[in-house]
Amino acid sequence: MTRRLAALTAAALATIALTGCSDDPDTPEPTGSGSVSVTSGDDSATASPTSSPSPSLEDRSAELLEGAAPLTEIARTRAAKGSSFAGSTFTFYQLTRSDASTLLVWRVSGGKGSSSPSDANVRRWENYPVMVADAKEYSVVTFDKEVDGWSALSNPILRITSGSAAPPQSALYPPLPAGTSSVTLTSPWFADVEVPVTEAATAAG
Amino acid sequence: MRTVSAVLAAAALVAGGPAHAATAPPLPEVEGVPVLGQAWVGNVTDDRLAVLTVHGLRRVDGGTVLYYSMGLRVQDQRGDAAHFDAYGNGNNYVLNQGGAVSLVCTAAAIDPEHDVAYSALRLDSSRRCISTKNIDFTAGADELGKAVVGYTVLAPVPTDVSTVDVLIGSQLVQGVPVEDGLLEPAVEDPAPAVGTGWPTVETSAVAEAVAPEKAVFDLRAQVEDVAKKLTEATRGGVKELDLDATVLFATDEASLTSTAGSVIREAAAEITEAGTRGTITVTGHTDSNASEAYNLDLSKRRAAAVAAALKRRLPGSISIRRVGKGESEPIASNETARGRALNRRVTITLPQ
Repeated sequence: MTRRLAALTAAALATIALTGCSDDPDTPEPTGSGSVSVTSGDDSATASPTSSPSPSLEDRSAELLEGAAPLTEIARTRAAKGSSFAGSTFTFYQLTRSDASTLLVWRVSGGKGSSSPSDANVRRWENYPVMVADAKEYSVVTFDKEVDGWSALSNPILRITSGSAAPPQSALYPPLPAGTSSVTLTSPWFADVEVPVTEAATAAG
Repeated sequence: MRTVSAVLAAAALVAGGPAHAATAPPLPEVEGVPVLGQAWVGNVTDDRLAVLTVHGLRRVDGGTVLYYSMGLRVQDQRGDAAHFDAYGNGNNYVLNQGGAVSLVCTAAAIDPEHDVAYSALRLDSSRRCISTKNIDFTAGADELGKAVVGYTVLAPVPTDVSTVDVLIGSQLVQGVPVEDGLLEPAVEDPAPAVGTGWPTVETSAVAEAVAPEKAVFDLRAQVEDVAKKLTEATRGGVKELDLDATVLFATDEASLTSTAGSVIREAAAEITEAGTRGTITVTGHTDSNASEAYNLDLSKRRAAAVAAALKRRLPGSISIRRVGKGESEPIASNETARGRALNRRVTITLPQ
């Protein structure tokens, strides 16, 4: 039984169970707490709510927003002349690896603008940047959308506006080996560029 | 999705190998508020970026609740309301089962280790998912610097999965722990400010989800060893070795070339070193050039040629099944030269 099939079976059973007791007043309340303890690098499943008293409820937006790490450029390259990004610049902000995946974040700026850059098509995943490290080529992860086939696990821009940077884009890749300090990105979209690798951040303890 | 190379590299580190790469900046610590990952989210209509924060991924009966917030910093406000459902790249195709078109419905828990993604459950044909409503996911013009919390109910993530990557707001966030139960306290405000409680989740709607099986997607990852001309792929939790048919065969031929031997030798070594037992499957694939019938026949003959060569290099305890799929299972577009090259392959599937 494949992983997906097992998940589907579980979903079907849960749906049946819910349907059968949707009017049941004795349905147990879900558990959980706003005072969840978040532990750095903790891979253990199903953390329990803590028993510590909840802190006072107050707007914490400022701490959250001002504490966000800014986008910081780590590499840049020019778009390839033959691509629909021609004239644009690719700026890279993040290439982080974990033991499960690698995440690439970039923005496209400049150029003539385009309402639909044809190269930014998740269904042409073979044109997505490839990460080259230690004589291995890491391709973007793809997902199977049944009739449409395999597409890149990425969210491409639909529009580039001349004179401004397009929204950040991200794409998921297989995990790079631990200790990899940089990769070369190669793609029909742009000139090859070396990008430094960082380890993914974990939640604060 | 763990590759052999990743495991070997990790072992090298233990033995005093290369130093670790730098670590990404830490996430902010906010009292009483789990902060599990952050990203910057753009907007196709203006150049301001919002801060996206993932606060929780919590199992409930029949689903998984993704809690997240979005907000514009005070210095990014322009005196107008921020409608966060309009943020993102304007693309709701990825990991969306179709129909539910919105930032809040384009969300998923991605399990790269088992190659499966669990996306938003869809309620009905009116393109609704079980989530915060678009109209509520807003910070008003008089709410400078307010980050509002939203939620989306995803397909159930299996209990043995402890950490996933998350897609929301067109962005990906790595390493989010999966935990049990709703966040509390739940409040009436459908999109409360961060720190003032959590939105009340419409858990009763989970039983009404339409075709929940369509919310679960298989993933495929591949790493090519350039020197060995061998691609190691995982698809839906199954490990495969892809051999480039261009290296193995001349165009329209099913006789192995002189260079095929080394590739098949490397493949045999990988299969043996992986401790494989039982039956492996050798499958021939083609691109979509030529007729379906021709491609099916060619793929069968190529699978037979590779299987015969492999058999000589594998222990007798491993048996081989041969299959031809022709052009019926492409992994890339047949509209590009690169895509067609990827589709011309012989795949060796290892038993689970």
